[in-house]
Amino acid sequence: MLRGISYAHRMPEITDEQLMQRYAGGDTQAFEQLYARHRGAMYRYFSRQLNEPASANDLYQGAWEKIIRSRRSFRAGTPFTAWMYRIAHNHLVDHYRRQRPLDAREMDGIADQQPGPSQRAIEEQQNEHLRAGIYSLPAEQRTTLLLKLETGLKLEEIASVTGVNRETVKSRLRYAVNKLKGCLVE
Amino acid sequence: MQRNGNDNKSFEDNLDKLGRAYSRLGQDEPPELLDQAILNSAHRAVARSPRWLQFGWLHGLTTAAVFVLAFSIILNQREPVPVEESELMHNEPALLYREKAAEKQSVDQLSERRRAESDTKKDARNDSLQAVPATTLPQQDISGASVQGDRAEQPSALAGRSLRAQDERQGERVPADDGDTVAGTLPEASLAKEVGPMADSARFEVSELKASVTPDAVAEQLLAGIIKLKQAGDEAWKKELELFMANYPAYPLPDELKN
Repeated sequence: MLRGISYAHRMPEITDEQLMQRYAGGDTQAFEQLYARHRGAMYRYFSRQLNEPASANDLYQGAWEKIIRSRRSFRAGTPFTAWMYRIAHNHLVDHYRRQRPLDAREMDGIADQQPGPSQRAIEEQQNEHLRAGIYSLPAEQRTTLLLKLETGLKLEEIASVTGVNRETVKSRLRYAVNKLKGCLVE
Repeated sequence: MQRNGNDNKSFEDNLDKLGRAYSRLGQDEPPELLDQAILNSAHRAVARSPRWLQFGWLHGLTTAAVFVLAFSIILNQREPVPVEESELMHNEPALLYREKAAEKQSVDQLSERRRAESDTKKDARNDSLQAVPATTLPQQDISGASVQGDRAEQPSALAGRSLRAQDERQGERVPADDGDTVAGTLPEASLAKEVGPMADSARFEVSELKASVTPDAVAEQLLAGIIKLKQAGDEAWKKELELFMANYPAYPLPDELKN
């Protein structure tokens, strides 16, 4: 390797796994690039799980700090996205365990507090309906749906992240889609 | 089967529709302050850990080496346990002493056996000397008047020849009469000297010489040496002769030394 030659232009070709290994070896720039790749999806994963932006922010930051602390436990050959969302999912489950579970009536109440159609444009109204519908889903179905929509993970990978089998993931997705069918307006 | 296929297709369609609707929700992004806090945390985490800690195997190896070194130092610094005297008897030095004692005992036994053999030979010589006719034996009486020149030399010469003949029959070495190799070389003190266990052969020769050299033979050799001194013109022969006569007052002198 020749000295003084920058390989920055080749950085986008580096996989998430390679970046994580570099960061585990002390390369902070690798982490910056890794963070830039996954910050939006991770943030939406949390922000759409909870209807409380402050809690979502805390969970988001806490999940990344867990990833930072676990950098040496990352092994080559492990899909980084699944590994990262497994940490995030466990962090979210811990959050749910600390709080009392929200029942459906509370969810409905939150949904009823959303602005009416007369105050917003129709598209915005539909988005809010969808958002409220996602909030109203049971936590397992919501997590499974968000992992599917935000990360694009396969059913097997979602099963690995959430610790269930593939059929359970598929069943949860099916329930979630059926519940949100009414929110879908073409 | 047909219904399951339709359900799957309906599910896939609804999932696609949901995905499109979800994408219209907007791309929410984390606050910039939150990004900065996370990146700072990542930098701090790397800066906190020393570089050498990133080599986990090296850390483990170093720790193991330190433990082994400390353990060996502790073992080396321990004082030796005092050993009882009775235990010393069973230790290696005691065994060595016992081996040496056994070796010395075997050497002593060998010396005794050699001495007994030499005594036997000596007795045999005395017997042979007694076998010589009495008229040829030297006169050992106090007067010494019967000791005459030819007669004085003849008995000892005969006795010497008799001894040599007997020893040669036994296949042993007999010192020559000229005394070059024997005279004055075998004092009793040196013969009695303790010989080492590794000098068995040398001790064998000494014991053999000791057995073969009788007082008469010594006297003969001394006389031969005195005669040589006289023939060489050395005046010391007189002093040697006086010394000889002091030690062997009754021994007959040869004709060369009578005048």
